[in-house]
Amino acid sequence: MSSDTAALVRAHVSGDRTAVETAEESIAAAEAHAELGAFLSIDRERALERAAALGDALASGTEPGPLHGVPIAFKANMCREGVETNCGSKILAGYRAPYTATAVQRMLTAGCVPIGTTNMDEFAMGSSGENSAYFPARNPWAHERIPGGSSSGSAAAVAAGIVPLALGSDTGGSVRQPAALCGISGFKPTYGRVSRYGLVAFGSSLDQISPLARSAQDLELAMLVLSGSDPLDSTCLDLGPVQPEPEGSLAGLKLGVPREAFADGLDEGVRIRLEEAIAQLCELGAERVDVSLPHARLAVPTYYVVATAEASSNLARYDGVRYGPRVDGDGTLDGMISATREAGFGAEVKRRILLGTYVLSSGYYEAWYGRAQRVRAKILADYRTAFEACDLLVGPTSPTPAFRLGERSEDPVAMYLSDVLTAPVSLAGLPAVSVPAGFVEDAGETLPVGMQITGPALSDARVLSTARAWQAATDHHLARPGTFAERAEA
Amino acid sequence: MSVASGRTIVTDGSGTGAGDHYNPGMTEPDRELVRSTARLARLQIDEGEVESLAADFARILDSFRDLAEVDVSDTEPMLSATELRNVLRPDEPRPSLAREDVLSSAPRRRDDYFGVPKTVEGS
Repeated sequence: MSSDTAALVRAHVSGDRTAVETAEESIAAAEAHAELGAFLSIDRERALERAAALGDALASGTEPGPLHGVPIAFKANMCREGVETNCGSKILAGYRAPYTATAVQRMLTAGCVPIGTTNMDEFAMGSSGENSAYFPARNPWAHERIPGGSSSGSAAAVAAGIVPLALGSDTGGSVRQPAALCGISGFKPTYGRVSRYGLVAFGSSLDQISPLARSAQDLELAMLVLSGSDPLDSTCLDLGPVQPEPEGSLAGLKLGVPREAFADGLDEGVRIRLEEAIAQLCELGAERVDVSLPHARLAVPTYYVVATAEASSNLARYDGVRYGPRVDGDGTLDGMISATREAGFGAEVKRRILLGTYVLSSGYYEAWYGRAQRVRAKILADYRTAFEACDLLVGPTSPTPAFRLGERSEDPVAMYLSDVLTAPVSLAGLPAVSVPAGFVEDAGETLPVGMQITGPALSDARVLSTARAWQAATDHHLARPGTFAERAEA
Repeated sequence: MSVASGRTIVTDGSGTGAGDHYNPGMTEPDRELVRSTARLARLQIDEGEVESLAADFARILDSFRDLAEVDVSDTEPMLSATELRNVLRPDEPRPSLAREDVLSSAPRRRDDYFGVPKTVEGS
């Protein structure tokens, strides 16, 4: 078991090191790993000022926050007052938020020091990081491969050891999939556990701000701070924060293994790692229960209808009036709006706006959007049935390990299939964590494999304590990029 | 595009959908559908893009065809990921964003207003 975050906080509070030293190291690491493309901006001056202020407060006797001096990176779709929040898009280039997102504010209040803003697929639309309007992020384990997406930079920054903690957002797998492909841990809470206030909206019935870290224990520490009701978000559940369970135990746990998660299309290496992991979970006391989620195979089309419909509505606000660069077009209001949107949005965002507009348009609404919402209900019903027979579900997070840059970027259908194992969980609004489950070799490269643990609604604490118990018994999460050879020899 | 159901929609291209010959299930996405949808979405797509977007549309919707085969006659649409209703707070006045902060992001402003092209003739 390990907690980079708790150890850092202890060192800061005991005086073994200062928050300024930690911030300097983190910024130096970010600059040394510039080739990863993890950051859209690094806040050197602000970070050092803030770290110094935290040190001063501690010296003057102020009670330190639970994350005192912990360097953190925020995905570029979370508003932070005065900081550019461009969402990986040209249409928000230069936009400085006039307010701070609730989740971001909570991390700041707890003592985090933001190092910078991380790269992402434009408007969180993508599964590889390649849809960033600026530059693609790279996988720290294999630089010619994608880190996953859309929280590409947040995952790469944690995996490379630049920050111990980062926030991303997960709509159809955008935190769990990059966590899996980068060999770290990422947790999507039950929909409504974390406030969305100040998160740039993509698919509002799916979006959840979600933490990424090296261990489940750090995710628990982050969730304790992040979660809880917020009067500024009417979809945020009126519940207290997610409290870590004192003891994570696997004994007697009924682990459901959905047959559909091992269907055709699953990489053979990933399948083998997952079978091994499940066998090990059973040796640790869990009981395997085979279950079925018959409608899960429809999750990708259902997700891409629901999410694009919501996105087409949410992205209507980018009209060149209130923020972002304007293109005058033919000089009329309509012409200005159309020309601004044409120039500001990238190819995938336009594709999704068109798809979403189409599935909502008169004459097609019931056949596509209405139908997808009904299939969504069936997907949720499958989970409810499965959870009558088991406590949690386990399976792979991503059907393949990290693929190469450019491998799927010209093929939207192949890219959408990257979400086949994460999207059903999102549609059902359930909590799920991705944790490292081992490695596969591909073309001479060592690539991480992720295991997804999914629970019923509001079982966030159980999902995380189970992940913690898994990490107490295994060391996959301790591996670092570039250190695999040493680890294999050990 | 061929689909399992073999049903198609012929669009009149008005962009409103009101005159569409509707047949539930699938559609034959064509260039005119892309143009009319782009107009609804306020996207000024150039002719070069229409072709590739129509091809993408056809492929994407074809990959979604299994949705049409599910029996959903007994299922209500799921509108929200949680069963809890909206959580409301007391409707009390509180400070809002500073006008200057908000206007500072606008690409064009006139005094304390967002600047937009003239929309009313003769004003």
